[in-house]
Amino acid sequence: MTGNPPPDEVLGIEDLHITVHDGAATAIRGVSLSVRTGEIVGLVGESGSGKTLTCRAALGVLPPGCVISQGTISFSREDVTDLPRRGWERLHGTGMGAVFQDPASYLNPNLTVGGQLAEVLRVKQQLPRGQAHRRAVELFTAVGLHDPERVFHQIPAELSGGMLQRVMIAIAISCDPRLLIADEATTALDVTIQAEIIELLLDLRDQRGLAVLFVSHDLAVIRELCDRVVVFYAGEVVETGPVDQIIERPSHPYTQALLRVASVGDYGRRELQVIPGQPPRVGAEIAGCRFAERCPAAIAACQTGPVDLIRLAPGHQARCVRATDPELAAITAAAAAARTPQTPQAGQAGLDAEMAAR
Amino acid sequence: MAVAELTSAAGAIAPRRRRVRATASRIGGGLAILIPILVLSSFITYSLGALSNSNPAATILGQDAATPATVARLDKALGLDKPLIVQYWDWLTQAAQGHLGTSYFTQIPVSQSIAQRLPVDLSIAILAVILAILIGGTAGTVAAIRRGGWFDRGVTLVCSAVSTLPAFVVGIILVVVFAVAWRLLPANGYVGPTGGIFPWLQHIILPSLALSLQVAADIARQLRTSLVAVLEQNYIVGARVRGLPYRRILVRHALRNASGPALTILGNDFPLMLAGAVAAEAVFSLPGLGQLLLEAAQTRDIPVVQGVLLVVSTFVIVVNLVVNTVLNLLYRSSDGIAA
Repeated sequence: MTGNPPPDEVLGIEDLHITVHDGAATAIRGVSLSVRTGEIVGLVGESGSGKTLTCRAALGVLPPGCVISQGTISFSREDVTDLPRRGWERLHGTGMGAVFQDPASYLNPNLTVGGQLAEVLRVKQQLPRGQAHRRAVELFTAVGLHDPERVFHQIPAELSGGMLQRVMIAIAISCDPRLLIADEATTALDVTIQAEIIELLLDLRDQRGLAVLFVSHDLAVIRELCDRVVVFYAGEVVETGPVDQIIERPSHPYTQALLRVASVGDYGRRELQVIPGQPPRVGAEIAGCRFAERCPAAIAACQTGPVDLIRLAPGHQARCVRATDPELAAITAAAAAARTPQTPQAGQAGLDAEMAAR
Repeated sequence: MAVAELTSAAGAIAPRRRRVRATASRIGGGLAILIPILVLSSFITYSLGALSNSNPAATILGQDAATPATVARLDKALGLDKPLIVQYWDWLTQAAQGHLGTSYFTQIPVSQSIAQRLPVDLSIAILAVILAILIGGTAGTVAAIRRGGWFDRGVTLVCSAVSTLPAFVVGIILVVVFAVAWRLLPANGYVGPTGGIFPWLQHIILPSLALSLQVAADIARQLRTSLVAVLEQNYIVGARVRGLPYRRILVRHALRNASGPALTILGNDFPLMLAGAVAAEAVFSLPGLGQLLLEAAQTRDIPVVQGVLLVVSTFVIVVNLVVNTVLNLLYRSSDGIAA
């Protein structure tokens, strides 16, 4: 992630720091990631780990009070870190599109969904009214909406969550962007609809070479959809690599715990697992590893100073002083196994923590 | 019942046709309710006049000529000997055809006096509404966009100050500044639009401004609050990431959705503006309905009072109907309630 970005890089984030509450706290610390044409990159991590803030920064729509204090964001190798409003207006829609967790809230409740799609086509592609209408109906058909002509004239309140997410995707891809940022786009949908949306995103990638930055805390979805994964913890990237390597050989204790909680790839194990402890609060200043407090494999070296990402294999990096220690996986597995015969209280506490995390 | 029909028909009819139909039925419903409201309000005003314990015949005849015999004869001629409900029915059927009776004193048909004076108040009221929307809308919008800034604080301050000032006080200040000190505009009088657009505007601008300021302050405050809330909504972020220009997002997405409460305020303030118009007419010596009403009330010229009140209440009801219709068109997601 250092040196020259690859020529087909669509989104490049380099050493990104974001402060929140008007600079009172740093929520994102040194995040670097890159998405190339036709690549689907997953962002995973707990709520509050900075996934959404990173997406918002990449989209140029940081909430009020949040500022990029350090680092760069580039789009198609053009630096967009300090892009003025008009530059973003040009880039949005035609360069990048976005889909969010709660599609209903991202559409104007008083305008028909077709009208909102046609508006984008008229403004961004200067299509006349009738042509914009026809193109909108085509796009609705392309994202798998039945009876698109009817959907065109409906307002968001008249459509289901799955249909709205399809509408959002149709709007996001309407001007043929190179990048789609999907922030928890399938989280609120039921499993069958979720699978259909994933299928749709894969089709779009294959047909248009669309690059996707896909945020989710569902590792099962990430595994199905993504080429590479970036694991977030407390505002930092703790591990990044090809999806198979991360799922099969996670090298950071947090990733290992996350996989154990999700019990991805091991359907035999069905006990409720939680990661003990709480993530540090946003902006907490910690000298060493930010996960050390919750880590079963923590040693003295973890607390002494900042931990760098360690290169384990081509494209696979982990931010852990023991990442290369062959015993690491065994230690965390043993710690998890020790907690497994849960007492009822522990089970209840775990359930509460799980509910709080949602 | 109507709701059940709508939802059961939803499967069969295309969404757009259904929505057009729903809007049409709401407007139709509004019109249908207009008539009973008018009948009720006119009955109340008519009864107030009839029960006001005045003796119209005696008043008309004057103290010297008012003997019981002459009063009884005149009562019969005026129909005042009939029961109240019969009198009202006679008046209502006449009013429905545009005949509002004649003044007790001048013998001029009431509808004629009203037709003469209504354009004055209509000119002022319409211009005042336009000014209130322009001034209040602009101030509220800019304050919301630059919230917390000096303009926002200035608007809040000015709005608080203005809402304590009645229209006639503002009117007097405006006359002193623009007509007396700077001699830019006429201090009083009225010239109809037939006398030239510019002289007409010259004569109505100050009274309109005086009337509009309080409403403008209400609109500015209401619009600022709702626009701040709307600008924080996700769908504004949604519109931004679609790459829509800022101005378009502000007007078509934010202001459109934020304007409901301000529109409601405008509808509610309209009767207040009419009340203010009476005072403004006095300050600017305008020959309007307010003066007509005031004189008629003082002389107990009951037909004139009733006629003017009927016209005024019709306007108030029609304005409210228009406001509700616009709200329905703006807020398709809910039934006219600001989202």
